[in-house]
Amino acid sequence: MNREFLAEAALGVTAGLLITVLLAYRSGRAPRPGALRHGAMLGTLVYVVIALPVVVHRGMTAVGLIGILVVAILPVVGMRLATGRASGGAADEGSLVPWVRRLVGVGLATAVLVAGAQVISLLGRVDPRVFAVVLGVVAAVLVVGGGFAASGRAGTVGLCAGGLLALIAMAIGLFAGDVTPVFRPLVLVDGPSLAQWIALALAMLMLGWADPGMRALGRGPAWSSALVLGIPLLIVALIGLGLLMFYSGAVISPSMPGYTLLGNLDIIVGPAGLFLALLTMLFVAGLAHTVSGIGAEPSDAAPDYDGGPLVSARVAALGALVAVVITLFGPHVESVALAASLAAAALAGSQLRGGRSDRGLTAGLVAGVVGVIAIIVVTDELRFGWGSIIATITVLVISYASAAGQSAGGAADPAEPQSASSTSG
Amino acid sequence: MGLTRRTAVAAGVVASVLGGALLFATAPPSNLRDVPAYALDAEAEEPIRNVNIIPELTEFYDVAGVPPGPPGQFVRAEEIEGAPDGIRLFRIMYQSTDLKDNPLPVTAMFAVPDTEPPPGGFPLVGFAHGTLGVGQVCGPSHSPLLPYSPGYTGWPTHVEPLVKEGWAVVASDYSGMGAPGPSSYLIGPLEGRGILDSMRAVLESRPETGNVPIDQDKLALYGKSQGGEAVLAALEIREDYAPDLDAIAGGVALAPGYAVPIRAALDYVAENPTSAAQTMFTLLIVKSIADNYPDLITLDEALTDEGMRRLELLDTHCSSQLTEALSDVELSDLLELPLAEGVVTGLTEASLGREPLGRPVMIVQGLEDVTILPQFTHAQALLRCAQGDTVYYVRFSEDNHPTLNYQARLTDPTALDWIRDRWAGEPAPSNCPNQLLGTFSTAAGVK
Repeated sequence: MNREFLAEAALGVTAGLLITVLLAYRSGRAPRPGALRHGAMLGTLVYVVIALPVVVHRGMTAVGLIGILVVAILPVVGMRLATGRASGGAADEGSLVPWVRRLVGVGLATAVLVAGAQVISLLGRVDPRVFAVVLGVVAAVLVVGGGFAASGRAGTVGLCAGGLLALIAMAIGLFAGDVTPVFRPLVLVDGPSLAQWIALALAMLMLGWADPGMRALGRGPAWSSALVLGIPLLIVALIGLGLLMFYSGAVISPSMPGYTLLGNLDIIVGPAGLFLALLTMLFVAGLAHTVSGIGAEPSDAAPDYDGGPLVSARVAALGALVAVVITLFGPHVESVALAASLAAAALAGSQLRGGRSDRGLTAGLVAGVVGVIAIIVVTDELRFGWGSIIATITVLVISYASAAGQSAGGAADPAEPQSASSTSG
Repeated sequence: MGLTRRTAVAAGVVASVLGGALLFATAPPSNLRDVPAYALDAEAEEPIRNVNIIPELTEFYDVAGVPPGPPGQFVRAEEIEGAPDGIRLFRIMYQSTDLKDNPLPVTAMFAVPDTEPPPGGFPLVGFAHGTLGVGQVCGPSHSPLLPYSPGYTGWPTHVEPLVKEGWAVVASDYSGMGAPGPSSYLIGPLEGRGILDSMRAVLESRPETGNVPIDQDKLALYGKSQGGEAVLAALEIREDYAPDLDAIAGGVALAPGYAVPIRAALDYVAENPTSAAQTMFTLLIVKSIADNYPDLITLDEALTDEGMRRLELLDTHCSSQLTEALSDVELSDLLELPLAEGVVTGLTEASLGREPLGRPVMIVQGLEDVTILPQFTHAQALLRCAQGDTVYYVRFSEDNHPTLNYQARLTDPTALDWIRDRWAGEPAPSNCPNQLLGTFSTAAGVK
């Protein structure tokens, strides 16, 4: 709305994109394990992006912030459980399995795109659809050109941006806010219901189980769950704490108090552009991580990490395209995450039973589609709650039961689906 | 399909730069009207800006013996003499409710064209007045035609021009202003109830108000300052509180008032007021919160001894007269600082903005306004956009709080044309920057 701020906003976004691109390609050498770990850390932040609107819309107090930190751990738990179960490798999986993981990856990428488009358009008053396209293209270019190496290095950039944002939030909280309301909120909110928390936690666990990006990076060396979780959650905790101090103990969005601060960045010329640049870095890094995951080759062969796990450039680009197209339809972050988590639950149920064909997975996916329809019909919206809990458990049970008899019989189709495309790594 | 590093860097740089340029080129229009401020007629403004006549309360405002009734029930009316040619003017009392749903008589003025009604009747606008005070004597229905009185402040600026458009206008006094009741200043749910019930009360043609027929399909809201906020509040509660008023086509909010429930911001304003009126605003807010949320705050918790003493002025003074009466004291001398916690909590409860409006709105703001700061209106517009509402946000670069009254009505895109277009069924314009195709409501969890 503020034309006079538009140039600065566009410059800030452009700078954020350019910095991420240039630093992602800052070296032609294979990335160190640390860079890949940074990519995984961005993966954790992606889950916070999913959890945040669910909680903040209903009001986030200190308890809500702790809840977000707890549920953000669950994807890594899910990933660990999945890799522990599927030790037999890709050759023991049905042919649908990698595609279901990619589907989940598309869901995660869409969630990042939607959140990024909303936040940047709110702060920068640019068109969110255009931003979603731009973000999708840049992330796709990063991944097509550099695979996990580029998204990992972008992750380093994103983490630095997140760290700076955390410092800014804490400074605002400490200098313009008060610590006391963090423990005794002046703003009264309901917060998510118990059902919503359970549903969110369940979805996080399922998504982590099937997340292709986390899985690919989790197979590598120097993976420390504590480290991968610790730094991003510290960033989230500091940002949340700063906001809680400023907003008298509870953060609600969308809300007038929230938008009074965020909607008026143009008051401070210069820092406003910087703020947009930092956020852009964070979102493009998060998206690059998820797009890398979509393109990750399903090979379980121990990678030597010459650039990270292999990535099918075509699949990654296609995944980014699909995510952008879905975003342009204006879906709800919660809806996208819920739908993706049902697909993930189908995979989890099948794999829990040790199914090596697609039967259990197929049955679970069908149940998931029925579940989505049922939730919409019954509750008139696709949101986390008792409906999604029941749907997730139903999908788990159906895929688990349908996979019965497959576990001991060996793989129906042991052939590992190989991408016909060349790979970049 | 893998790219060489050099190609990838080039592609990334090109995509980033082109993307930035595209974002710049495709940003939604700002609707910033870079026109000179409306030139006020100083002589005509004098009796509007210098309120010094406070009318006596008449028997009309006595609610003793008024039986409880459902919200919107008409109670009584009397004609106000001396209306300009072509206008009939009434004072009405109707039933509304307080925040605990108890019956609450409220008063209003009802102005109608004294002409042959169009087929179907006159369109009806619910007008919401700006800050006048909270005292019973401050209700505009007392003396809308008397220069230098509180009621006159909204007559030549808003109500008369609206009636001259051929529209019937009902202007609620709000709770506590006129008939006794809890103070309603920036208590969105209470103001909203008062406005919606005033519209309900005049929808039916009745002899007490001149048998004026109302076009039940052409309803709208229009308000300024406190009234702008009240219009948005009324729309926000309409679906739950007055689903029968489904025909309200939208609302115009000029410089909608807002008190941000952020303690740091409130403390800052208390210590660094940008206009003398903010002292008055703050006292009115504290009084209204204490009246409506007694569990959260009592007046002696929020005000200093000096503040408690000055509180008495609210019963007897209105508008600029009240500002003047409070001008010799610093706001920080009236309030306990840091601000009492209950004030922040109460403001949060009183400020709506958690639900979509469900109807299109036009929000208009002057960027030179120091009474309602443009930043707050900006936040209001973005919030409503984020909730999926259709928002047409227009800013005038050089206008201030008083000049906006005229500029919004007279300069394209005018608020009056916007209302006419809604009644004509034209698609409502939107210049929201922060909506995806499906809006935030589909994108991030708002139902």
